[in-house]
Amino acid sequence: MRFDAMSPEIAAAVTNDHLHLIVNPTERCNLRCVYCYESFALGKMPSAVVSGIFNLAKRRAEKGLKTFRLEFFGGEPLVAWDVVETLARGLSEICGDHGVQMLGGMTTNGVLLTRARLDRLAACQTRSFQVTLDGPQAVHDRRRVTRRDQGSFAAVWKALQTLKTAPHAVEVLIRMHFDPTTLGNLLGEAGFVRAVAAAFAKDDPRFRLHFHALGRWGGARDGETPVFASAADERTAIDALIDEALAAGCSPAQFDRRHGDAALGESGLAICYAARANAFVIRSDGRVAKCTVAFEDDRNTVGRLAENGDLVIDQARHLPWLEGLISGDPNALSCPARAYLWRKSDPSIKGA
Amino acid sequence: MNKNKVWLSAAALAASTIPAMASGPKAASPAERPASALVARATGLAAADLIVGRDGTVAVDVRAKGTLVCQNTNNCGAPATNNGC
Repeated sequence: MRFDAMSPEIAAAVTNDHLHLIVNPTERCNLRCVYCYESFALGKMPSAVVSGIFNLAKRRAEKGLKTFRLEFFGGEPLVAWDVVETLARGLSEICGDHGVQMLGGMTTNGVLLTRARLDRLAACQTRSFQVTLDGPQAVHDRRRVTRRDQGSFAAVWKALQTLKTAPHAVEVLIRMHFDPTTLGNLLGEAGFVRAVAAAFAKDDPRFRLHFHALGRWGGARDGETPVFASAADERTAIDALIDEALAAGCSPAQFDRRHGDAALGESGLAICYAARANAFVIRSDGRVAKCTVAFEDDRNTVGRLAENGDLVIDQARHLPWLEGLISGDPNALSCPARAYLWRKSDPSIKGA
Repeated sequence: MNKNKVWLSAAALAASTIPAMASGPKAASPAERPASALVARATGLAAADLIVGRDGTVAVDVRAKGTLVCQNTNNCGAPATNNGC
């Protein structure tokens, strides 16, 4: 195992040819999902932080950066559409001017995604989207609710249809949440997996599926979240869901091979963005973090982004996140938060 | 695991991607420094740190870390080189 640390995945996690920024245009959200772990305390990203991102990207592009991965996160990024549009346009221009390949994406609940916004994003090299469904409407609308406690299923389904019918070369990851109490709704001839496959994924490689068991991720209502008793039970359920999707006409290429929460690479290592030396979360107030599931933990703040583009990193805070790169420990690579913050090794146990 | 392949991978990685910090009283030669540091760390010896510069670039810091020690499969303990044991 020791020498496996020199795999291509490790190289990709430290190379200076690549920069990966996960950007929170706001940490406010239009939904209040029952299992959410975020506090929604930070509002829209100010112009000084936007300038810092531009200046950092420009500096790296001038130094020969080859690929720049931009992922909008939050909060719900589309709540701050003006920031998203400004950043997507400006960064795609910087990359275009310097021959840098930009890979733009967004994790969104989909409620505010319109065709006009999709067209704008696609024109700015932002074509990768992750959208979550919690199951059929009756289940989804109990869990992914608006601030006024109304269901969001219809709007999310409409967003997926917008993505499906758009002429752009989009990549859509439909993240399907499940737990022991909802698994039955997803399986079977009349189950939700078949409905999603028929509507979006079957014969359309632009759409991929990811089945994700609910966890206790640190939210106020963690005690009410049903979770599987063990990682093995969770794995068995995921295998059944994948089999269901395959039976519905999806292809094996439409699923990630995973270790815990991170996708497996070509030589079998799964490295979370938080374990990579060249990946950073830029929070809406300019703080630099590593993990998007632990914003409330002070150890997740490893520095700040200055308006001039300086990434001021506290190396002592940053290094524990990189331990997996050094040790090759698959758990520290696939989820450094679990290894470093929570000191847990069972992938079924998440959050505090 | 093919040991030679490991070392070649490390050298290629260092040459193409990661610069080492320039100074250090006991630093390895420039050609072998990044690979040696990474391999030493990969084998469990805390010989160097990955650090991030103000432009977000990653570097291997070997300053004041001392001689890097080989810990290949036979744990010979010799100074690390790009040739393995």
